Amino acid sequence: MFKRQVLLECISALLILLFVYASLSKFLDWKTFYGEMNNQPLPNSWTPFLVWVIPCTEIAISVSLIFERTRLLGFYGSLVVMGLFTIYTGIILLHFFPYIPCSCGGVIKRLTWRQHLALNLFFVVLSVVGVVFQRRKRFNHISITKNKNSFV
Amino acid sequence: MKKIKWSIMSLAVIFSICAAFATKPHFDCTSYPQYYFTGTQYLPVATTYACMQGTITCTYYTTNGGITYSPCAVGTYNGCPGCVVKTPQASATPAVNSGNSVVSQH
Repeated sequence: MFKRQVLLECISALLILLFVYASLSKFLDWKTFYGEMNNQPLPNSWTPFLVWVIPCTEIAISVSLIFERTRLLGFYGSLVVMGLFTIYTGIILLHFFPYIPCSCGGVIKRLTWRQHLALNLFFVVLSVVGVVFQRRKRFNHISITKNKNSFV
Repeated sequence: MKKIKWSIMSLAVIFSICAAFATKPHFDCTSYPQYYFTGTQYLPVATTYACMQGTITCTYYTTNGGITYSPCAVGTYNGCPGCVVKTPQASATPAVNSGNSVVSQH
């Protein structure tokens, strides 16, 4: 039980590390981020919306991962976001778009798209493990509370 | 347990903030007008352009009015991202070929 709790904390910390770093890098180099979003094979009309939604979602997930009450929601959010990034990376690698854009974002921009895919998959797996363990923990907590109440 | 939790969380947040500031680019070459190299000369980039995946220099910038050019973005220069090359339709009077492909924006 203790080991599982420590593992959950470590998974949360790794995801927080990724999301805080990614969002902050975007805000610190806003102009480049905006340009790189325009460079992506998505309609440019989406850019003003995406440049705010992506980093704000990353921060929201990080905050929800810190607190016990919202952690499950944070793991689900992380799974959805990382899943979407992974699908996008897969589509890029399958040459679905007319051109392959640069892979961008802080020090992560030095990675190739294949390395990006591997990194995303790693964090998708971490999110899945987080969801499973957090759900199990919550279920155990509920059953313990129920058993206690039945004794009263 | 709470102590362990908060120390791990604080460490993660502090480390990510420091990493983001440490990797922040100090000099932004994209704030200068961008040029691409045709093989013989440097020409200003198109209004909308893309640097596609690649290891060569995509765009250059100059700080001394074009005497020297320094590399800026990495990738393969694409002056018309999202453009589709149309095959010219056969017509009775052939159009004067300027050497450029006919392109259209999405």
